[in-house]
Amino acid sequence: MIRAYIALLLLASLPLAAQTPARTAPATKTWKQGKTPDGQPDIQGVWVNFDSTPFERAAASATGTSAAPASGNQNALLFADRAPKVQQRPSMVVDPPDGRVPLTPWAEQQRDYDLSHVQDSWEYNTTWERCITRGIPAAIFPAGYNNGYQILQTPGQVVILYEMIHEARIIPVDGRPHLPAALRQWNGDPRGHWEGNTLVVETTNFNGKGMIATNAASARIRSVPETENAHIVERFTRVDENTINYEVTIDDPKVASAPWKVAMPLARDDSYKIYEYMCHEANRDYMEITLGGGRLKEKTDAAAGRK
Amino acid sequence: MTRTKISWTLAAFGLLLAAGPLAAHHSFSAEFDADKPVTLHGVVTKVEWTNPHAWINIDVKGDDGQTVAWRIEAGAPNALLRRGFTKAYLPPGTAIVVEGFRAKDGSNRANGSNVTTPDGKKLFLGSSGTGAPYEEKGK
Amino acid sequence: MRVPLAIILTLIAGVVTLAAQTRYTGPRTADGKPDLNGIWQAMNTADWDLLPHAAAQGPVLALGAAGAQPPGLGVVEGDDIPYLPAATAKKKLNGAHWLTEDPEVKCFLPGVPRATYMPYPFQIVQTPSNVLIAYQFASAVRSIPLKARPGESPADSWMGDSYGHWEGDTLVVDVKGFTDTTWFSRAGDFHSDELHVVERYTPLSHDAIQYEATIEDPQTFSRPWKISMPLYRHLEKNAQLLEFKCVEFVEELMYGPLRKQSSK
Repeated sequence: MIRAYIALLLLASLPLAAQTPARTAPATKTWKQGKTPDGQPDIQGVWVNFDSTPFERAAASATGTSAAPASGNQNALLFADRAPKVQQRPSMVVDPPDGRVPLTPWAEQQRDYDLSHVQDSWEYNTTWERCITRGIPAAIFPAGYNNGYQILQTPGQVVILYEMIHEARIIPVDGRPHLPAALRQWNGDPRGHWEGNTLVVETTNFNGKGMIATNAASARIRSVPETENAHIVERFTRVDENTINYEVTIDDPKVASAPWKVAMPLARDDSYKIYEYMCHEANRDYMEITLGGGRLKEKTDAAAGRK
Repeated sequence: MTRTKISWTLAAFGLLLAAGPLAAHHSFSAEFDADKPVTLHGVVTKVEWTNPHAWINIDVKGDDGQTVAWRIEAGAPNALLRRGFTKAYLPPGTAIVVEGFRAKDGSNRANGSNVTTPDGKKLFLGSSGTGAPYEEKGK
Repeated sequence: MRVPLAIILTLIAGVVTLAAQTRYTGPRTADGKPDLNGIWQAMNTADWDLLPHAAAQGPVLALGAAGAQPPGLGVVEGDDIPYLPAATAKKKLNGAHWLTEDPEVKCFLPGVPRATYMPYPFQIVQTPSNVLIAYQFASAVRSIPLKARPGESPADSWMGDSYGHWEGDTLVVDVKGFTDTTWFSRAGDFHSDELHVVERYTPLSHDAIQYEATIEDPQTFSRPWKISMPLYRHLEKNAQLLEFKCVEFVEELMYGPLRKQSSK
């Protein structure tokens, strides 16, 4: 008993640098999945996903003209030293196999209506432009910057801090039930469990006011709604010292005619400091210009006798 | 980050401009007018290191001798920070030339494409997402 | 690694001494620290006013008693906030106009230490190398590395730049790098960007923490001053931090006149 106590003392007195490496340790062939004190596979650390892979593959069109080109995340190339060293992939959407989200006509109508009415009211802007949230799972889709996620684990839970928009997502893995059905949230209600070394997170209880993607890199998926019935299943699997394979299956029948899947690697980078991304506190200019521009146009049009 | 590294980053960024839309969170066209380019010669009064956009406040002297305050939208500060640019890069009193596009609400605000500092260096402000004229070739 | 006997004995002596001083007998984490993991909340009216205050009329007539200020004993040691003469007037002005000027009303990030004593819960997530505190209000969050501050933060922030360490069973958090945009309470207590806060979280039992915060700001106050209050653990089964993303409740307030009038 006393030996264990001494051992604990010695461990506690070790310099912290020994526990958190200043940079990523090189991946070793003999890497073994570590465990947290309560037996969870250890996926803690700061992870990033600067990734210029296009969100969808370009559509192959019957007429031969290409649809809107699948845009990559060009900004991310600036941070090339932080990008995961993985094979080039044709798209982040991996299911359906053609790399295109099977959007329903309703979803496209909603998106198009919102995008064309952003000057009318804040409610047509994306939740990111409103500085409410980037959304779940959207908060992990790579943007041009600030693609940092800090993962912490304590007994019975996994916590993910998303840099934008300062979102601390607390995921119980202790088997507790979801919130009552009447309690709905912008980012739903996550519940996790471990399947071997894979953390599976199921999120329900969405309030239906959010979007499935809010960043420009998601191109035609940006501003597509996420309804109350969205059922999101994420899988986090650490495959080596510096890589977590992330995939998410999105099931929202009113929005897409079949569940679809997005996959990407997360790279470990403990030297990446997550800074505060306050958003709403300085968003007034955006609203004044966007909404104010709409009111100005109405005045100008009315004065010119046009409506 | 050393000066040379900053220059390389800017050059690389410049090359990328032609390659495709930059990823940010909202579209250029909701806020700014591609048909209203502006070139402003002004003096920095204050840099607001805020999200989702940093704002550079400048005083611009008009031909009539009157000084007008302008606000220039730049990119997210954390992204600028990581490239080695801090708030100190444009201290108050710095004379700069700003190229950008006017805000749609008629106010003295512009989306900044780039800023030229007294030493002649051009700093890309990387503020907006899809649709800015300097971002897409075929628009 | 082989450790000399002398070191082992010194460590044992240290533990024995510490054990004599520590009153905490509750559960500990795997690395031997008091287990602060869980959901906590202050139970006082400090968010209205840090100083002792009687019940008072609220600013919105229609809210009646629901909007009135409740009374409080105060949380400031010595019952005095030592404003510099030039700052006293500003505090009075703030307090008189808090409905339009208090950043809390606009759902802005509350800063430190105000986030601790707002009337909403927060969750402490404690690991050996990092303590994260997630606040229900506005999804405010602080990530606190348990190491020495490596240098000045390159950018100021609303929630400050925090670094922590343990002193015995007390978690000590040092916070700097603030903007000057948050308040301490609706009474209008404010600060400059030179604010420096040192927090101490000392567990009284598994279910209560004594929270102290020393506030220092040579631009605003003539000397450091200190607040102190208990924090209470939420004991509900399956207690959970819920979303209070209040931006949607202030958009009409902040941008209403800009909206297309016929679209509502």
